[in-house]
Formats: sequence, structure tokens, C-alpha cells
Amino acid sequence: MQPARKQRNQNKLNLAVDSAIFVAFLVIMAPHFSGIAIHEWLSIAFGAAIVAHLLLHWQWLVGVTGRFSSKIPQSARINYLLNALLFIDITIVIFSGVLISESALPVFGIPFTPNGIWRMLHALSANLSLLLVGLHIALHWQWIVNVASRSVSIARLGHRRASQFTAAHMEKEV
Amino acid sequence: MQFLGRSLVILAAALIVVGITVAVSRPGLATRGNADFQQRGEFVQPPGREAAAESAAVPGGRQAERAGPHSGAHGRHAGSAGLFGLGEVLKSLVVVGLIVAAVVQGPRLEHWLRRNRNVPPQRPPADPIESV
Repeated sequence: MQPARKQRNQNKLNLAVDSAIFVAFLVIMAPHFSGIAIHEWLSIAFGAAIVAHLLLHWQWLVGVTGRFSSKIPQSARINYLLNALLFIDITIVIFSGVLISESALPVFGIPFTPNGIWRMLHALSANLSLLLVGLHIALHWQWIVNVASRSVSIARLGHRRASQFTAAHMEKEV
Repeated sequence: MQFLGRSLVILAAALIVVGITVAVSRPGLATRGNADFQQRGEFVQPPGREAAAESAAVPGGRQAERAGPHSGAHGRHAGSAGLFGLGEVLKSLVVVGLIVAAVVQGPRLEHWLRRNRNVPPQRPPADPIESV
């Protein structure tokens, strides 16, 4: 496969995974909408999705970590710090959520013990995650727009070519 | 194998965060936090609820069966699904949208404001009576 095409496919995959993660995030942030059981199980799956997201961006992660103290663009440094903060925050949200879980934890045979600090931490870190996710998306907005518009234009081109091919084929048959 | 190693690194990082969080939230602080939250009226459980939670703390938990979409002692989680829930999704979407708009459009707006400030104010047209 050509490198450009490979990169395009990788971008498409990243965008698809990221979009799914964002939709899951919106559902998780609305427990009234999903119900407590779905809220808890989806949050656990969300943790796995975050790991997948990090694995997909591993090269960037390793590259910036290695060159963090040396010369890298300021935007990359801000992005890295924001991502680190988001990782910490999401970890705290999921962990505190598991500790106050009413539906998921008893399935594993772990008793539910109500605790104020974990509830408070869960609420605070969840609210903070909304802000951090907003900033995370904002910093990657240009990439999102580029990949989405390129995917749409390629799909349109493919559709046009297919319809042209079909028209030519029909003319031949006639 | 490579993915497994990388996943373990990520999980180890998460474990460090969890360890620090647990270390910071000491038992004394936890009790105080609970009291504070109950004083403020948040996350207060109805009397039967706590007992139910304790009795359901059995391995294999019957609580899981009971904890339907309408249950929940999370305070903000309590309530019914429906339009209000959809409103919550939209609220989150609006918040994220506003943040994205502020960050993406912020520099453009600043540039526009700066450009407008640099333009010298236009002189009002001369009074025809005075000019005569």
C-alpha cells in the first residue's frame, strides 16, 4: 500500500475511533439518559477505549515524551500537558466511579460501600473532564476538520466515479 | 506482543495515578468528605437505601439486578431517563462546543479586534454651515 494512502486510512481509523469515544463520553456524562447500569459498564469500556486511543497515538506520545525538555513547538508541549492532565482525570473518574459503583462492582463480588470522598471526587473529576475534553478537541479541531472533509470529498469522488462507470457501462450495453 | 507491552505501560501509568489518589484521600478525609456532602444535602440517601446497600453487599450481588436505570444513590444520577437525560447529553455537547468555539475562534476574534482598533477613526463629515 502507498504510504500516503496508508496514512489516509490511519487517519480515517483514528477519526472513527475518536468519534466513537466522544459519543460514548457524551452518553457517560448523562447517567439520566443511559441509566446507571449502562453508565457504569460503558465507563469501564470507555477505559479500554482510552487505552486503544493511546495505542493508536503511541508514536506521537513516545516522540514528544523523549523530546519534551528539548526543542519542540510550544503547541505540542501544551498539547502533551493537557493530554497528561486528561489521562489523570479520566483515570480518577473511572477509578472513583468503580469504587462507588452500584451495578458493576457487585457483579465481581465486591461490596458497595458508600463513601463521600469518592462521590465528591467522581463528580468533580467528571466536571473537569468535560472542560478538558473540550480543550482536547479544540486543540485537534483543524485535524478533525481536515480528515473529515478529505474523507467526505474522497467518498464523493468515489461515488461520482462509480456513477460515471455505471453510466458508461449502460451506454455500452445499449 | 508490542501492543501488550504498550498496554501494560499505559495500565502502569493509570495504576500510579490510582495509587496517588488513594494515598491522598486518607480515611479521615473520606469521613469528613462524606459528612460535608450530607450536610450540603447532596448524595443523601433515603433511610432504607443505605440498609439496602449494606444487605446487597453480598458476592454475586442482587443489587445489580435492582440497580436499574431509575435507581442510583449518586444524587445526580438519581432520576428518570428520558427528555431530561437527553437534555444532559445536549448540555455536555453545548459545553464542549462552546469551549471548541472559544479556542478555535478566539485568536481570529482577537485578530479582528486588533485590526479594528488599529484603523484610525473616521473623521465625521464637515458641518456644512461651519464650512461656509
